[in-house]
Amino acid sequence: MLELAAVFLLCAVVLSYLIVIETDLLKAVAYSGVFGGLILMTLYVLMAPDVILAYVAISVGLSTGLMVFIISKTTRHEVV
Amino acid sequence: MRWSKVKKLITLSIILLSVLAGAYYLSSYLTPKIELNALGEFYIRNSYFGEYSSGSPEVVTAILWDYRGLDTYFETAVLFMAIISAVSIFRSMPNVSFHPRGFTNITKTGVKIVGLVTFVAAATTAFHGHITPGGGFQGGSMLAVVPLLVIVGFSKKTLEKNGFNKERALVIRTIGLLTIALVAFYPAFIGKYFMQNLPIYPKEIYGMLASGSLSLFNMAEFLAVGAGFTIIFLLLSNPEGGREA
Repeated sequence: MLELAAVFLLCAVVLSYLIVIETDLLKAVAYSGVFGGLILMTLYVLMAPDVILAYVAISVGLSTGLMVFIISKTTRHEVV
Repeated sequence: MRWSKVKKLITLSIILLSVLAGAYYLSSYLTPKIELNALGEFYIRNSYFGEYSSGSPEVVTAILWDYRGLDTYFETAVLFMAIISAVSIFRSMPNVSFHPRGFTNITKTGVKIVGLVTFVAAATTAFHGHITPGGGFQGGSMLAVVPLLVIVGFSKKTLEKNGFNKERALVIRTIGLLTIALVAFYPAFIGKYFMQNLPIYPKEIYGMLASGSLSLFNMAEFLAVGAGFTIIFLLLSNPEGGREA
């Protein structure tokens, strides 16, 4: 089972790279939601249901919503 | 394939290879632990049955609100300060009138169904927090998703027209925080320890497991966290200069 957690964390590394290099901010927020989902599955493998219950609402719901609100107040594309 | 994409792929593979190499190198030094340490064993043995019982079979909640209750108390205080500072930053915001459009009926019906299910799940998580995994903070943050869904699917005006405006959310949050403070300070007033749980608050009420003050703390934190996050979303979804939200 622990190997599964390692696979999820490796996918999370890939997603964090995508989040950093993405210039379309809305896409980056969507990627961070998927990143949260991968961390969730890792926590599930590690048998931490209390952490999952808080994390699922905050990372997938609240933090994504907050970021979308903030992006709607600036520009959508990052200017390099 | 364009050169920029190739460059990204090369960078990504370098990162992945270095992570894998680092994990392989470190794995010989980090061996998995088989037995619990003394503190963990104390919590697991005592949380429900033992001599220092907190009356809850859910060890995490017992640690959060009883054994390490002081930490959680001040964590709640930090959240209180953060939301108060956000409210005071936004206090001079003008009230712009706007005509909300919202999404189509398909989205609105979906929001209604998902909102109800989320609300029930949040309440179950919070009110069963002393028996099953979950608790006040978890339930509260799930509860805060419901107004967020309503703001996105319908509009901020719909939420306010149905009686859930910023002032009322502040009142609900204050009730929750006051309950936490009262339940925490009451044992200290009658000559016991601050945030003491079991001999003072009942372990069972009419045969139902209440785990002393744990269920009270969970309900109060549920209200405080849910309403606190809702205030932030109500403030952030304020339209600027007539823009629709």
